[in-house]
Amino acid sequence: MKKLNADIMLKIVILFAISGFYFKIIISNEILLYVHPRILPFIIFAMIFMFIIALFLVTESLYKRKKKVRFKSYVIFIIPLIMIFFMESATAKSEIKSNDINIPTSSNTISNNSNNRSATGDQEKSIINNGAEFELYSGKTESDGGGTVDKKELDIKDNVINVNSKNFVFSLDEILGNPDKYEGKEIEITGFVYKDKNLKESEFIIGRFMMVCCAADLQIAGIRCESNNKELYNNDTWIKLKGKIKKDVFEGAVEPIIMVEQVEKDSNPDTSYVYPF
Amino acid sequence: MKVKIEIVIGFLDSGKTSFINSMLQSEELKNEIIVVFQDEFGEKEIEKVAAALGQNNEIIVIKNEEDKQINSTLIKDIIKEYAPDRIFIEVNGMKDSSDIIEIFNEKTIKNISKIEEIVNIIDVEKFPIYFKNISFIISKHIFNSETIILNNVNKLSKKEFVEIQKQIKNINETADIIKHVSSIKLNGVSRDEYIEVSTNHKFFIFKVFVYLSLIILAFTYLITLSLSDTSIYAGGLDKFGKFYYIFISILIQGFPFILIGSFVSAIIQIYISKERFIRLFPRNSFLSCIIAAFAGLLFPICDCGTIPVVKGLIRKNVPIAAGITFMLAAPIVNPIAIISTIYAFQGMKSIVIYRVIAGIIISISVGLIVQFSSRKDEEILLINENTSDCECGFCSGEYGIYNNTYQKIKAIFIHAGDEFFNVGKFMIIGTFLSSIFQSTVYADKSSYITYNNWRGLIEMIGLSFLLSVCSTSDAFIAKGFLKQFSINSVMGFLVVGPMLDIKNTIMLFGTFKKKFVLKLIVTILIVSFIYLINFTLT
Repeated sequence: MKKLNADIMLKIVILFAISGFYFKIIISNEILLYVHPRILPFIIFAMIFMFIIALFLVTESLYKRKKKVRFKSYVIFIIPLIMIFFMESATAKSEIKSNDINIPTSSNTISNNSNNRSATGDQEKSIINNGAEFELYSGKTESDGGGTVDKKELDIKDNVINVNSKNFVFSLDEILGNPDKYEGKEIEITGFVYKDKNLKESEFIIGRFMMVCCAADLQIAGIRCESNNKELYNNDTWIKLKGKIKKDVFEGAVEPIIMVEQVEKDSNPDTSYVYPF
Repeated sequence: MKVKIEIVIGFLDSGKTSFINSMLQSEELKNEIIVVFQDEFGEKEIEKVAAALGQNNEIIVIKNEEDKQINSTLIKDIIKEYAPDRIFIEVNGMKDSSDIIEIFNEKTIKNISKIEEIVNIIDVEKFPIYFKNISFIISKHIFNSETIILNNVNKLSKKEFVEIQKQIKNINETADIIKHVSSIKLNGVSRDEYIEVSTNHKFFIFKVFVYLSLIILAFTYLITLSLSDTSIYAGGLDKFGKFYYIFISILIQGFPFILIGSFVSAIIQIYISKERFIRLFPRNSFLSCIIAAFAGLLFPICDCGTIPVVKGLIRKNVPIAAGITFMLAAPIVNPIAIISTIYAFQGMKSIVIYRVIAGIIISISVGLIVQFSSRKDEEILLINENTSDCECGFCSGEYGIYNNTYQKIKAIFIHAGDEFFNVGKFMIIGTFLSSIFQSTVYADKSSYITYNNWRGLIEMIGLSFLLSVCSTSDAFIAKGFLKQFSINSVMGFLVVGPMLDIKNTIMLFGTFKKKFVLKLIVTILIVSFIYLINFTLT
């Protein structure tokens, strides 16, 4: 052999790097910030198979003699890897301060994004981003990320509807789809504050990020709230809220709104994304 | 001292012997015992002119008159008998160059010899004919060689010569290309002069320079960003963070699909022979298109994963129409995409059904149009270095060489890896561009005022192209446009988006010939426009 086969070496390094990155984000559960849990098996598949390909290439490199390197195709793979390397170390730095700093920063940008995308005349306007509304559909399942929960009924305890990250999308669909049925009901809901320029001063939306496939299609799903309390929380503050559902007319359509009775900051929020399916 | 092996490969009369003759005269070969093994013999003879030039070397010419197989025993015998410093092996161009190189990878041979150089001699005059008819043999030679000698260059026009150089560079970017310039007879000794074709080299250096500076730029940018905690840069970080977030998440979920596509392609490549494949597909193009359109149901992969599969299919001579139909329809009939459409358009089942039907009709018609407008056996795939990369024999169409399961599995993995790198780079570029769009261009509906139907449709198609949203999630975005746009226009977003977006256009350009991709894009646009504009939801 003349020299080490740089071509194959580069491939091996890139494959190990991608597979290592997958391993890292799966272990730290960061993967759920990027993709829908449904993709997870595919990612595990890719992680394992890239590793195996790299191992095969190691044995291969022992006998292939060949060639100067063709740089250009590998540069393209190396750029994202460098980005990942830097950004990973950057988030690690900030994670020391607060466990969830990662999400609020991204939420900021994404809410801006959905702000621009938001619908201006949709029937059930409360779920902000384009068509994230659902009518009641019997037998519909909702996955909580692990794909386990299968609920067909709202979580009602002592006549209070309880909405958390596990049943968020389903509960919202149910309530938004049947404003008449739930009028006057008490509701307890957790989420973050999101304000839209279309809303009145006293109004805000309590929402969560909803992911369909990957972070590129992250949207805010939420319900409109009205509060007399002058000191409203800022965008992206996680809150716990108690209130009554009321029917309201918003931009020409009947839809429910929560009249806030009690609100407090959620000091230890469950910030996980919610999934429509 | 290991015996130096020089492999000279080329077709009959391409000028192998002349080249060896000129090599024998070089300074480097002084005082050596040289064996020239000739596998075939044309008009030229090896000239033992050493003494005349004061080379003081001993040349032994062995002609393979008994037509012996070139193998390790033969090489060992030669080395044992003559104890040479150097062996020139003149190989008939019809032989598989990979097989010859493989001999020297054997352990016992590796200990006593090493390949010094692999030279491919090409008669440029005959090159186009050969390249057309036996391209896989030639591609393999070119790919395996480190030096390529072009003969008869002066018989070509400059344009033809440049074209040939381009074809060679396509297959082997790093080989030194040398052209034969003149041949003088001096004192009964013919001297041939060769010079390097250098223009491409400068270009290569330039390219490396561009890529390196790109990396350095990205590097410094990121370093400054990560080092600066001041608020001045926070805005930049925010914007970049958003772009990064979208970019990486698409890559994270895209890589596995490309890998799956690559595996399917590799398995097709290795386990199913061409003949069997052709038998599997019905003769009738229309029928095969229908099968192809529904085949997507079995492949729950995104649009990026289908391209390597189609590449594998077309390499196996599956009709173009079927391949294209599969490629276009798969992301739409993909079960996950259907489910997500059902969820997004709840209570509007007709949209789901129409999306699938429109997708299938458009992809079949595009497939058929593209098929009938191409010449028979027109080469539509880019000549790719990786088709001849592997020395496994599977790619060259010789099916069933290895029956060993381990080797088969290994070949699948290595192929899948190659394919992944091949398609993956285009996917990364495409994702990069579409992430820029996604983080800057918003689907802000108030800025889209629809005047009439066709304009709305064009807007929607354009938007779906720029946003390049995966077919499994685009329904949720499309839903939001329902109020503003007519149903036809939203259909444009739902149907044309998965077939054509920035990401897969770049991947197409990396896989197929430019002309073909352009034709495909234009056909898709025209067909879907005509279909969707006349479409009414009942």
